[in-house]
Amino acid sequence: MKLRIEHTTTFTYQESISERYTEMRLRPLDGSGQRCLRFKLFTEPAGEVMQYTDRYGNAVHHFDTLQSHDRVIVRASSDVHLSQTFADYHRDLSPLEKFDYLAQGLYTTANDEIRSLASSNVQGDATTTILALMHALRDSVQYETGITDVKTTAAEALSLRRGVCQDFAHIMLAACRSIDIPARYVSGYLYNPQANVSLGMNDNAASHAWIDAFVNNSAWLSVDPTHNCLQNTNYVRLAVGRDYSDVPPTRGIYKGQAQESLTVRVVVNAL
Amino acid sequence: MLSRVADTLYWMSRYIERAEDITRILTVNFNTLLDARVQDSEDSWRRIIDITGDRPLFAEHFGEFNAKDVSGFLLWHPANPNAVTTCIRLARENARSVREQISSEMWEHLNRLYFLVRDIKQELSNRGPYDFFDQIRHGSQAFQGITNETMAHGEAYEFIQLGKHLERADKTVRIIDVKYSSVNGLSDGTEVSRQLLAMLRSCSAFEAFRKSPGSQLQPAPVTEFLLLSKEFPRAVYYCLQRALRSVNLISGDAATPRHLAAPQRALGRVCSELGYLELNELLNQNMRPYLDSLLYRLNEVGIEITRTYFNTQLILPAQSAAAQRAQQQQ
Amino acid sequence: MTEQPSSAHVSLMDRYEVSDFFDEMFLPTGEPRNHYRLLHARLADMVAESFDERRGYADVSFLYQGITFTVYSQKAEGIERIFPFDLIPRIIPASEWALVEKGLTQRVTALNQFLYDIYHEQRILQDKIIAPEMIFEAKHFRREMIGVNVPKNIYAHVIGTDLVRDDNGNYFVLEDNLRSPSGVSYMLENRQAMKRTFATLFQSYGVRAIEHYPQELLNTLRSVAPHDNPDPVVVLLTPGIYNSAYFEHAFLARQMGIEIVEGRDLVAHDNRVYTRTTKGLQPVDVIYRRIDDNFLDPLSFDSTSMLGCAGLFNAWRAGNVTLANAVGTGVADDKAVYAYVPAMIRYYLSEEPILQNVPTYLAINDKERDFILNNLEQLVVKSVNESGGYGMLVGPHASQEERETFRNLIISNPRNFIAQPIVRLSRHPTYLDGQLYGCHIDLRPYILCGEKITIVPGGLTRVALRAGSLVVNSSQGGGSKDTWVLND
Repeated sequence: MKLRIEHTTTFTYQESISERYTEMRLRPLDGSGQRCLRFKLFTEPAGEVMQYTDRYGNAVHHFDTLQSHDRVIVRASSDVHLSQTFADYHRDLSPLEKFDYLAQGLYTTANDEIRSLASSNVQGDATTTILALMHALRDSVQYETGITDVKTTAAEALSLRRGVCQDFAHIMLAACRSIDIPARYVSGYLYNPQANVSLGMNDNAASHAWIDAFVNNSAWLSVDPTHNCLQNTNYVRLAVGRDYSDVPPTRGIYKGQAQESLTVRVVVNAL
Repeated sequence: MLSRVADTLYWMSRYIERAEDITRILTVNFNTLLDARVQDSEDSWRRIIDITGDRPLFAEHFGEFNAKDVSGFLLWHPANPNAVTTCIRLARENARSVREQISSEMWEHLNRLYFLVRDIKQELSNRGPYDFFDQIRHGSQAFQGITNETMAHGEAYEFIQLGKHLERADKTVRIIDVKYSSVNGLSDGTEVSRQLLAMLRSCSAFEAFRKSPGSQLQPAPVTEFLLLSKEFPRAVYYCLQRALRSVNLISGDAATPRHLAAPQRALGRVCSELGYLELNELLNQNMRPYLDSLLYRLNEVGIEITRTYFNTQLILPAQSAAAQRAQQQQ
Repeated sequence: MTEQPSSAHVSLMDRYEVSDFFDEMFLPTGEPRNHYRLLHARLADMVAESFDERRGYADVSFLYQGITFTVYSQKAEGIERIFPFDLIPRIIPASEWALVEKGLTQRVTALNQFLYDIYHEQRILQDKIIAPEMIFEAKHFRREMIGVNVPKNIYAHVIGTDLVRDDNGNYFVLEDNLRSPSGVSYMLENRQAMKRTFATLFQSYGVRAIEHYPQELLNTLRSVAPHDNPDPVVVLLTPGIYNSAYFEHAFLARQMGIEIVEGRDLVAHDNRVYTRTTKGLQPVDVIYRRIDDNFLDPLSFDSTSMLGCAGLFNAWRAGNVTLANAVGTGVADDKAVYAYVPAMIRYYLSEEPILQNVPTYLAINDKERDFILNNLEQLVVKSVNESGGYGMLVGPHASQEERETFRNLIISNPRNFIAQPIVRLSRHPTYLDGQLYGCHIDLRPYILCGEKITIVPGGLTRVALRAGSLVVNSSQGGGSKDTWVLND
């Protein structure tokens, strides 16, 4: 399957700001069944876009806008080829990966509730455990927007019993790590072939987050706790990391007093 | 040199000059008042506030214009950002943050001045206003001399000179503006002379004026002297010529006008206009609008200086701009 | 001695007591060591009054030059004090220095290889020489640095290793200080003051010069410029005038003839760093930074930092500007990681360490923790990330209550603590209130790593000016001495 993605982010300010530095993780990853065929990045105001690869292998693009301005638009356009279900076998984790993907971070510190959710679902091998854990999570937490925000931790979301994909992913990470299964956060898109008929979906609906768990000491198993399923060919992977803070699609800093407001629009179409 | 350092030195210099100018204006008014009729006094205190341009701010805090409130406002009132104590405190803070750039003697002297005004009310009651005003004027003048003698006359020095001369030009224009309008239309010859004397003394210009050719105590020659003298260090034209010299030393000589830095162009235009001015065109009712536009243009010069020297993030080196264009053609 | 000389003619040496600590000047027999004979004779010839007079000159010259350090306090403005300077020099014979120099060179070579390794292949972890957690949990381990290449693979360009001597006069390394060690300006100023006050003595001793340090520092910084630029622009980045070491920053910048800048003077654009000047933006190639990693770049690190420059880290990652020292060198300053430096020397260089570590017990290891907790009265306990004498417990001098506090701290966060036996620091005659006393000293040589490794002979000898105190830091009542390394 081939998908075309148009991801537009608009930052607006009530007053002019200057010296804005923007970092983006918007280029689809290559490998394990996914191939980025085309990637273009447009910025307004126009500037030289530079790139580096972070230590997780994610492509990071960045640019700066020194002169004063009150709006920045970033449009990422990419074509992605998805040949099969995500598969990343015969892998070995480096000491740092092992450490970091088991670590209790700001978002992923387990409390008693998370630990008991995890330990009560340990059964058979790691894959079985993860699937059971995902079912249990789906049963206890309701998908609902507007309850949590970008800073909500796994423990907070679980006690609220409501949240969005980011929260599902963080709870799942915290739970896996609490029973010694290395797990990482995945940022990306979910293509919904019926997007037009779904009601009440916002413009950013296609942006999504899920997790990879490292099973049998040899392979990443990619699961989507929000939808209680394995990652399939409707999923486009953008970046991986320890948690959300490692992979935000855009991140920036600027000089000026004005408040920033942000709108995101993602359109995914099959080619 | 670093923009931050240049900015800090320029304002340090303006603040010191401002403190001295305000102090001198106050001194002269105290003097003039000794001969004044009582009904004149409120008027004359009001004009002092007009010189500083802070009348709305004054009105927020005080009702009438009298010696106590006006001098309190100008010397130390916390709400007045241009009060003498505030200016000296800011000058010292600026000096402290670029301590390495100025000479030890400059720093020590500024420190001494700061300690003098820190306990201003105490000092005022101990010394009396005249003595206190003298201390500040001497302090500021000595600072200029020490600067001249102990600091290398490089770029940093030129920013100090630039600040001083622009501030001084601005204050002299304001003094002419206010005093000329109070003299214009008066028929009482004694009163005219009295006001013109105050105008000259507010700029420390009385003796210099007397020695200049054709120095009758009449509105036109006095105004001409304060506005257009090429030799008197507080005359507007003199100050602007010196400021232009500093700007030329800072930015370097331009091969053609196209290569002029914005402050060179702005200042150069004001200078050449003053240099070829026909004073008679300005007398009477034309004086006020002209001086107002001059103040406006001096303000513009200040803005260009800030934009060009202190806030330089937009001026990128040439090769970087080329790289940007190449990128955009893809 | 049967007759006491009258008090007016008591020489400085007459009442000096040699204790059972290692005395730099005296043999246990009470005889001066060979290399101290000249100095000893000079002091034995002097009375307190004439010494005071000379000391007065030195104090005044320090005041004039504003050699002060700021003690951190609650107030917005720190308190400025004259940095106490003791006029009795510490003397190191050539052969002794040769060994120290060799040992330091070996140590910093291994440390730079270690830094390269843990930010690249992590062989030392894969080979289980160091437990991975030891590194990954270190506060100053910088994950952002992984895979980032730095010029000539040098991470720590300026190092200030703290050395101490024990009862036998052996040198030990106490700390490596790979972030931004301070104090080198005192080393240079002390030398100036000594030359003025004891000119003849200085001359007759044949002391190796140190005045070229700023030039060597500049050479080092230039040698690590990006793209091997032969004529790079170097600047010194300071947190500003309120920093306790601002005097040193301004001093070094002046000596090297480079600009001293604050973060707000810098701006990054298209992966290059510029200074904002009156002639527009001017490119910068090498930044000798005296601010902490965390404050360098609000985009990549602490986003609330006002001291740094947004985009600096990306420009550096792209190889267009060099930071000295590199980001992430602090991982080797962690006092638990320090314990592994001898192992690093063996691992990377296949050599035996020339300079020894002070024996170190890691609370993270169960056995060693038990040992620490059972011997708190005899040990010095240190928090792994503190420096400058803060966050430590000196067992024998602490109260029962303080020991209990540390016991609980160690149990609740063992990774954060190490313990060492008390080193019986060597002593050196030092002038206090009209008399000479034996005061504890250490030595901080400054090591420069660029194209080559350069160590100016000597360094800063710090001295505990409180009788009996072992703490030699300037913020804790310490002072300093000039250090004379002899020609032969």
